[in-house]
Order: sequence, then structure tokens, then C-alpha cells
Amino acid sequence: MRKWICTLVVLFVIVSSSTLAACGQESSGVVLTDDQGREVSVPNDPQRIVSLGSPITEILFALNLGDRVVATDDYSDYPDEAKSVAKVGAPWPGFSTETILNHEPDLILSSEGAIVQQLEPHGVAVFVVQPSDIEGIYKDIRLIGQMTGKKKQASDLVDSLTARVSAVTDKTASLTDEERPTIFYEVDATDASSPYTAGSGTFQDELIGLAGGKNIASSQAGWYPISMEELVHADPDMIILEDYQYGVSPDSLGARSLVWADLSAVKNGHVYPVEDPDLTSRYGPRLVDGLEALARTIHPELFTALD
Amino acid sequence: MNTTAIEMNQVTFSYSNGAVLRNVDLCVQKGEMVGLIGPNGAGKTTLIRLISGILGTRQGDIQLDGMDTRGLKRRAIAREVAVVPQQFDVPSGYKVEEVVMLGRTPFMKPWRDFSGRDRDVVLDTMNAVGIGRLAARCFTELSGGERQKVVLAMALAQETGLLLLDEPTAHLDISHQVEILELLTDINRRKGLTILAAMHDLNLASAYFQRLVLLKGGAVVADGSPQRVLTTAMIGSAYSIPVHIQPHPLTGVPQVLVLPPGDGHN
Amino acid sequence: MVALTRRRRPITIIVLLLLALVACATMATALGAVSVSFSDVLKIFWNKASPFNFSTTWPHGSETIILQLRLPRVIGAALVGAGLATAGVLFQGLLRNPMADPYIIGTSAGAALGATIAMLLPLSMAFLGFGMVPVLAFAGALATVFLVYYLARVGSKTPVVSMLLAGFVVSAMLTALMFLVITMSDKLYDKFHSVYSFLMGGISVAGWGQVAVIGPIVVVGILLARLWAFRLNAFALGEEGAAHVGVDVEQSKTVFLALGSVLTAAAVSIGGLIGFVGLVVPHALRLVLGPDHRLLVPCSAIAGGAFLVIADMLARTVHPPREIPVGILTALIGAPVFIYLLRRHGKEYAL
Repeated sequence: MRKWICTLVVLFVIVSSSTLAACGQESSGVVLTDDQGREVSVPNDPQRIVSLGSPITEILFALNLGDRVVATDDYSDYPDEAKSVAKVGAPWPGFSTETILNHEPDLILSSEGAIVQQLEPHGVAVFVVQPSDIEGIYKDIRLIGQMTGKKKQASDLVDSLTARVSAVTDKTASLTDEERPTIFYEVDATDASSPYTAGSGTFQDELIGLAGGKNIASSQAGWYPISMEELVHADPDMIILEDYQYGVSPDSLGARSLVWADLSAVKNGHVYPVEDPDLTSRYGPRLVDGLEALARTIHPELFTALD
Repeated sequence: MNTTAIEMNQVTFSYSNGAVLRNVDLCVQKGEMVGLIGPNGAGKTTLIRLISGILGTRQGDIQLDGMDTRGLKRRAIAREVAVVPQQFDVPSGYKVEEVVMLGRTPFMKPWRDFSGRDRDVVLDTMNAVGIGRLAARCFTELSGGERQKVVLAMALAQETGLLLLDEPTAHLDISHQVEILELLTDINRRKGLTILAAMHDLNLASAYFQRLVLLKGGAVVADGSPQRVLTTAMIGSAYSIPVHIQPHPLTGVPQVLVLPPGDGHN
Repeated sequence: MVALTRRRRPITIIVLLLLALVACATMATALGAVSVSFSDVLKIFWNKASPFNFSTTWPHGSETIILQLRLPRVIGAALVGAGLATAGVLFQGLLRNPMADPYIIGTSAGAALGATIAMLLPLSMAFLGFGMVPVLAFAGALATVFLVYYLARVGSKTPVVSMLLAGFVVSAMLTALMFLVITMSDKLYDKFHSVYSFLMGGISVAGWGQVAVIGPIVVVGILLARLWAFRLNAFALGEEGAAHVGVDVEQSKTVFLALGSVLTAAAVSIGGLIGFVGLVVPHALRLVLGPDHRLLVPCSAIAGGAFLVIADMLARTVHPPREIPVGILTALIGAPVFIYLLRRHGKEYAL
């Protein structure tokens, strides 16, 4: 009996020390802090990257890293090359750990924090990319550049984005309050008596401000349903429809109810659709495209058709 | 002027499990007080449910006061016949007078509140049955005997010509049993109310009913006065138990005495 | 000679309740996310109602808010509360079960599935001024009742126990389907809050259009329920007992089921799944007023309306400009009330 126990103990020691040794080998790399404040040990020069977030995919392709992307989430469809990359699921109802790990990634970049718990036990580096404003996007681009040895490209990309943003803010920063139209940004109005909008601290709120408008919903933080009373009271100059993609057209607002039809923006026809919602809801490089589109909508007199 | 309260012609009925009434003929005149006796499962309750129209006959017809029950709506039947059932449950929160008032449902009009007439009938009935002082009490707080009287009052409040009762004295002590039967006799005599009651107690049935109908296995095996129906042979074979019949020492009506098995009697 | 105990005349009780409802409604119209002074509110009403006009000292927006937003919303809340409470009375009487609520035979699951489909599938049409959500919620609720009735039917009868069982099973199935739709949908991120709002209950009235359609349905439903209420009284005797006193039981069951379902469907289509009103209001009133449905139906309707008007007012004013789903408030208010009633009158149930 004792002989068996001894053999088992020896085997156990051998197995665990080799596992530790193997782990130890992986800790050559860089320790970076992700957007959730986690310190992640990122391997040097990762070659097999999985992107779980469409903005991340767009950044990777913009940095010419497309050939290193082995798999993406279902929604990554830009640029065109991204469409043909293998897909591994979506944040809802959840990613399949198996499918992700099947691609043998050495680095996983995710827009969601929830996936971390699922993947971490398997020893792969998971880095959360979750910017909360435009500055955050720049920082993340630089970080990704650093991780992948594309520091120069990252820096160039940030510079070009910064320049385009400045082209907008140069004209809008000096606008007075009266010159800024009040905006109601409609995210969803399935319940027409309390439409969902973006409050302060959201990207949409930031974009509206930079584009020279005033968000009427900025008294509250985050996304929330605003009461019709507030909307009537504020009587915004413009209404921007992010739910245009779900079939809500500017003409349909008047049909919702007499109160909607009575709003100045509806009466004067200042209801504008967001034609490509990806430009305002994907927090990556194309957000700047979104900013430019918004600027043209809000201040057509300042921004004639840019590119 | 029709004198027949109930007329059943060759009535046949069966439940899906096969319990059966076969070719039952029964004729009850107005003002009669008839006791329905027979062992469990003989079909007494089924018979009552057929007469009250709850069940429909497979074959044969039933006439109430000359009218075929199949052609009558529930409301019309309810003005002809009232039923005191074996089981009676009311949800909590009902006062006695509210229960009795339910007997006036066949006379209700949708928008009107209870009429003065409805109130009078309810009061009179409660007093006649002797529960006037219980009017405001909660039904669920009453004793068995008191509850039975309430149920009787409710049925009487329906002001029908015919009253059917299904084992009205079961679960009551002897004083309450007698009380109920005295009440029924009194109402039958004073108002000419036709009464048909299923009875499980043969001696009480003998004492209070001038006519007994004996059911066994879904068929009428005897129909007549207690003297004719309560014989050793009849009862012994119907209930499958040896009995001894002797006249009541004071009233003379036949009384049934059970013989315990294996005691060496002949 | 003992006289029958005298209750206060029904008309008196009803009038008192109506006055209470009007008072609640006035208060609720005066309060909201945007503050309008009480005197302005009264003046706005007066101007609308009478030829004599006060001069307009308030911003145009205030008038829109009061007359076009708050007033229809308050009336909508009253209708939903009245509809649910009446449906509760009907189901409690029909099923002889004081624990029954309007959703017990599956109306809520059907409405929720209909609403979820409307929200998450690519449908976008308006119907009589209603979006797809109220229409599909209404249709879902009614379709479910049909299904349950059909499943429970045996020959020409619909046993109550079968209805309850079928209702339970169908509810579970439809709820599962609803969650399946939610899980498979890729629109969930954007629409989640709408689904959540519906499930938690919230008065969704954006003008007079919905009130004009739902109002007559609810009012007529309540009147019909009152007309048939005396038959519901007889149901206390059980189905056979009710038949003995002259009630056509199967016909009555069908009528009460239909009335209860239509009232619930109408309420749910503009209010989402608001709980507790249909359970607590009839129950509480029964303890106070007694079991006579001819009084219980109108009183429950009015009291239910007032209850929901107050709950909706709180939903709008507790944390402006956010709106708390009303269902949360009815549960928070209703549950303690129910517990109190249970403790006070619990002995009646211990038979």
C-alpha cells in the first residue's frame, strides 16, 4: 500500500512542476493594464489574435494586422475582409469557450468584461478593450499597437483621427449656447410614451457636444427612458433617429401621437436619421466618421459635404 | 289542473363508469311526501340529479308538473324544483342571510337590487326554519345542525312546488334529525309542498314518510307504504344483510333491527 | 322577528368611491416630471371645460403636458386599474378561489409573448394609432385564453380544475417561448429595456388615441360584468349548487371567462404586466363590503382605478425624469397590504 502512495506522490510532483514550468515560460511578455483595470500579461508579438468586438476588429485591420486575426465575434463585418474570418458567437447569449479556444489564440481582445471569467482559467491572455470616450479610443489604439509591434502605425492612425476631430472642433468649440441647436437623440421609441435616449457620459452625448449641439438628455447619466413631459418641455430643435435602422422614419414621428406631431422639430421637419448606426455605436476609428456625419447634420452651414 | 309533481317514464341513465339506472318509472303526486331508500350505489343521488335536471337521461323522459325537463331552461327548472344536496360548501365570508338570499336567484333581475318581496321571503323562511336569530352569523361558524337548516331555508326561499333532499339527516345528531323531519312534515302539511327525500335511516324514513320507494341496483324494487316496503325479505335482500322487522311499540310503524352476523338467529 | 341586517346603500358607497377616484386623478394630473403649479392645472381644466376663460399665464408646453400627456395617461391608468380589478373579481368568483388573479389562466404569458415578438421581430406597423406592441399583446392574451379553454373543454363542459391546470401549463410553455425569442434575438441589446419595461408593467399612453379605443372596451366590460354579477353570486354554491338556483353554468362560465379575458387583455395592452391590482383590490374589498358581486364589481373597478392612478403618479414622481415601472410599485404597495389582510383575516381561511 505504501508503495502505491509513494508512486502517486512522485507522479504528482513531476506533473505539477512541469505544469508550473510551462506556465512560467508564458510569462515572458509585457504586463499591460486593460480598460477594466486588470493587469494582463500579454505575450510578445502575438500571431493568433481573437477579436471579440467589432470596433476591436476594425482597429486591428486598420493597423494592418488582418492576417493575424484568426477569429472574430459574429458582428465584426468591417472591413470587408473581416467578413470572411471565422466567427465564434456573440456577447448575447454568450460565446462558446470551446470554439474560441479551438483557434488556439495567444491573445484575446474583448469589448465585454464578462468573457474574462470564462477564458482566464485556460491560461490565455484576455485583454478588455472598453473605452468610454474618444481619448479612450486613442489610448486603446496605442496599446494594441504596442502589443503587436505596430507602434508607428498606431501613432499615425491616432494622429489622423485627431486631425479630423480637430477639423470639426475648430469650428464648433467657439459656438455660443444660442448657436448650438438642442438635440434629442432617440435610441429607441418602441414605447412612444417614454423614448430611450443617451444621457451624459455616453459616446453619443460626447459626439453631440463635439459636433456643436446640446443634448437635452444630459441631466441624467447613461441610457434611460425620458418622459414625454421632459421632451415637450425641452422642445428640441432637432431630433436624431438612431433607430432608423429598425424602420423608424422621420415621417413616422408625427403619426405616433398628437403630442409628437406638435413638437417643433417634427413640425419643421428637423428630424434626421442616422443612416449608418455603426458609425455612432461602434467605439472604434469609424466613430470619427460618425462625428463628421453628425456635424454635417447639426451644422450644415459649417460643414459642407466633407469627403 | 295537473296533479302530478313528478313523472318519470322508463328512465335509463349511466355514468361513464357504468353506474346505472334502468327503466325507472316513478310517479309522485302533488303534496306527497316520499322517502327514497336503498343501499349505497343503488342510484338515489343519481335519481335526484336526474329529476333536478342536472343530469340528462339517456332514455326515457321526466316531467315536472307536466313539463318535460329537456325542454326547460335552468331558470325555469329552478322555479319548479329546489334541492337540498348532500354536500354543501360555501366559501368563507358569507353570512347566513346572504346564503339564504341565494335561493332567490331565479327571481333576480340584472340591475335591480333585492325587492321587498325577496327580503320578506328570506325573513319568513328563516323564521319558519327557526334560524332567524342566526341571520347575521357567519355560515362557516355554525354547527352541522344549524348549517343544514340554513341550506333548507335557502331551498325553501326558492318557493318551488317540489323539494328534493339528498340524505338530509346524515351527519346530524338524533335531535336535529327529528327537528328537520318535523319541519319538513309541517311544511308539507301546511303548504302542500311535494317532498322527495333520499333517506339512509330506515326507521326515520318509516316514521315520517307515508310512501317509500326502494331502489336497488338502479331499479325500483318496491314502492308503497312502509308496511308494504319494509319487510324482512325486501330489506334483507336489498341491503344484503339479515334484518328483523317489528312494529314500533308506541307508534306501530315498522322498525328495522339489524341482526349482527353469526349470532345464531334465524 | 329579526330584520335583515342593513348595509349602507350601494349607491352611497359607489359615489364615495367615485369622488375618491376623481380626487386621486386630479392630484395625479397635477404632479409629474415637469412641475406645473396646482393653480395653473385647475385653470387649464377650467378653460377647457367652461366658456369662461382665464388669461393664459402659463407656457404653451404646460398646456400640452397637462391636457395631452398627463390627463390621458391618468385616465389610462384608471382604465387599466379598473379593468384588472374587475377581471380579478370575475376570476375569483368564477374559480371560487380568492387567490386567483387576472393572469391565472395564462393571459399574462400570452401577452408577454406577443409583446416580445412585436418588439424583437422586424415588424413596424401602426394599427389604429397603436404600435404593434399593444396589438400583439392584446391578441396574445386572448389567443391564450382560447387555447386554455379549448384544452380544458370536455364534451360540453369546461371543468374549472382543468382550466387552472391548462392555464398553468400553457403559461409555462409560452413564457419559455418568450425567453427563447429573447435569447435568439440579435436586437436584444437595443430593445432589452423595452422588454423589461413591459414585463415589469408601465402605463404606455402617449396621447388620447389609445384611451379612446381602450376606454369603451373597459367600460362596457365592467357594465356587462355588473349585469351578470348576480349569477356570479350563485357560483359560491359550487357549479351544481348554482345550477340548482337556476344559473346556466356553462353559459355563465363562458361569459365570465370572456369578460375577464377581454378586460385583462385591454389592460395589459396599454399597461404591460402590472401585478397585484387584480389580486389585492377585489380581495380587500370583499373583506370590507362582503361577497355580493353586484356591489363588488363596480367598487373594485373604481378602487382599482384609484389605486393604479396613485401608483402611476408615484412611478412618475419618485425619481424624475426617470420613470419607475409601475408594476414594481404595485407590488411594493400591494404586498404589505396583502400581508396585513392575511394576518388580520387569516382565521377565516383556516376551516
